[in-house]
Amino acid sequence: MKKLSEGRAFGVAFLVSWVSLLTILGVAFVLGNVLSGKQSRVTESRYVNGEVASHGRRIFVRHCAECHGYDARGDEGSDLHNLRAGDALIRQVITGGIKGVMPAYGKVLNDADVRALTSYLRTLRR
Amino acid sequence: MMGISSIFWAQAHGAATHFPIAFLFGAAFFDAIGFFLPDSSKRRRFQFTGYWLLILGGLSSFGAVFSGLAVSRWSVSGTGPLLQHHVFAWPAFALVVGLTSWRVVVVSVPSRRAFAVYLWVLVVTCALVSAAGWSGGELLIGH
Repeated sequence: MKKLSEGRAFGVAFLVSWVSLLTILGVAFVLGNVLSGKQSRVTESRYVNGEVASHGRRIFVRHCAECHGYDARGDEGSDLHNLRAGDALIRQVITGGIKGVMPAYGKVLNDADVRALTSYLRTLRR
Repeated sequence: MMGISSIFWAQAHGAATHFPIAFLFGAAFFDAIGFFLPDSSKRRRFQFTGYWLLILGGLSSFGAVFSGLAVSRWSVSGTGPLLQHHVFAWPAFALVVGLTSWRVVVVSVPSRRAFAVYLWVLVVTCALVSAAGWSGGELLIGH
């Protein structure tokens, strides 16, 4: 390969970095909008700034993501977006589990954790 | 590709990101030591190692970026912690590719001044990569 002077090499490097960055962003844009469809895009509201819901997100990642997916769109477990159940039922399912389907977390999480997790789940909208 | 679970991509991203981090820091270490060595043959050996580590870092950064985009479902910005991660990750990626390209096409023995500028930019890139890694860890795992 023909070697360039430092100035010319800088020009090439600048061009290559911008082309790479724009290509990657372009591919992501196309895949995000066309191939995966609008429904499978990340629901940005899950990256919330609120203290409680952020704590809930951490609990979710630690205990729930393995089955429900890091984006909570379901994997082994169900999609947790737009839950219609009330807070009381959600807390009951978290603490008591569902026999044969989901383990109980009543002994793992305290009340504050369950409340934070519920708050986080409430931020999940399509 | 969409059938692959988010856990797979989260784990793949966690694994893939450590390659460019290690290679870049290695490149910075060897290039910096080589820069300050008075013996030219030793300097060349250190910079030869730095050169190949940087190339490996540049190549592996594409894997890290691709797996990261897959785990975020192709979101390039986002809000909150995801946006913070991207604010560090995108400039870091552009700089890694730029630095790698510069080392590949520039003359074998660049001037000391040019190499000093390159080292400074490499240090800034390492800082951005560290910040992206930290914010990414916070995003996925939290405290």
